[in-house]
Amino acid sequence: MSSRRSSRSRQSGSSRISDDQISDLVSKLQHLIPELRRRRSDKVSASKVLQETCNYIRNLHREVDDLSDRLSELLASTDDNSAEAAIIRSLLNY
Amino acid sequence: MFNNQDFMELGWRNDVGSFAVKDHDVGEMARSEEDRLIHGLKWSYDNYFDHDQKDNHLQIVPEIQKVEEEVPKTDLLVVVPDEHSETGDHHDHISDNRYYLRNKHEKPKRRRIQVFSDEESDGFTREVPSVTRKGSKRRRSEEMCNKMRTLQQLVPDCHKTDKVSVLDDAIEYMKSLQLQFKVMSMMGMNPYFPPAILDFGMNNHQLTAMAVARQNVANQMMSSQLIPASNWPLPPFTNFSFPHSPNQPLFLTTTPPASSHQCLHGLVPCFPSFLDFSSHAMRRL
Repeated sequence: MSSRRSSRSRQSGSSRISDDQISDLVSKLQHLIPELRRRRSDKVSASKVLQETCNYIRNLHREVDDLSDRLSELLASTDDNSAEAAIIRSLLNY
Repeated sequence: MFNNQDFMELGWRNDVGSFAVKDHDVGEMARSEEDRLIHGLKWSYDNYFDHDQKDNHLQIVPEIQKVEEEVPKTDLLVVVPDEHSETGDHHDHISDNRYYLRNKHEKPKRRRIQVFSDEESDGFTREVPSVTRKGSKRRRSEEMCNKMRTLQQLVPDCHKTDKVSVLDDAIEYMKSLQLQFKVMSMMGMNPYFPPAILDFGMNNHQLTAMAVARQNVANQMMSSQLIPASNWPLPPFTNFSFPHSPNQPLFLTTTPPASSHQCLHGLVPCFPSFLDFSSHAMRRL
């Protein structure tokens, strides 16, 4: 870590804080991504984390869309007055 | 020495900005390794951070050393593992590819340079051929910026462009997305599944707040558990909201009045901090 400290010695205080912040946020992000959570350690680069985040979000979007489709089908098949229908409808924003 | 934390920082330092090689004549005068050791290369970044207007100088000094562990300057961002150290002394090749690595024919024994290429490596150091370090750095910074931009586009309602905000928003959004996905998948698999079993963890705050906000308006008290889509932006997430498009169904919304108290029974245990309120509400049943 000493090299890190000394490399920061030239930077202004605010940017030092921001850099720490950023790497902190990046590691949080890494923790959220299941694929990257496994390889804990500080081995994952920020760029890769960002890349995986984007991919992960896109995947989640797709999955949520699929689920909505499925839920609407399910909704069509259930009794309209049932509790389940109510729940499903609530999830689907109808 | 270096650690990977440094490399992550290295990635982050390459924000929008320009590069300027300060000592242009280093190449000329630093023919000998001693000279290079002395003069090094100074890179300065201008405005590498959006709101940071000061000069931020990042020193990158090629570690030219005769001895294994000797570090000439403190900001060592470029180190090379020695696995391919040549036997002979190669002094001649370094006209313009001083920092050319991995070239078994040209790489001098004593030069130790390590460039961390984050998009290719999985965290271990890699030697990348680069004629100029400036080129690879700029590439990296551009790629980092591009990724931030894509992320910003993916995350709804992300208006600020500085890294910290984008990352913040992305984190919140990811958490909500994951939650939504969890709930929907459980519903999808078994709509009769009592939602009481769902464990929202810290998301309790979010759902709680929304439930509480809705409580006031609800005459069908059971349906008050679920917030109309338009009320989505709520205190816990100040500048965050799901897109209001039909393709992206919002997580919570009002239920039709019918048989909603079953929903309440199911959902209440999920909101531990909400329990008092809900018991009060339930007394009205």
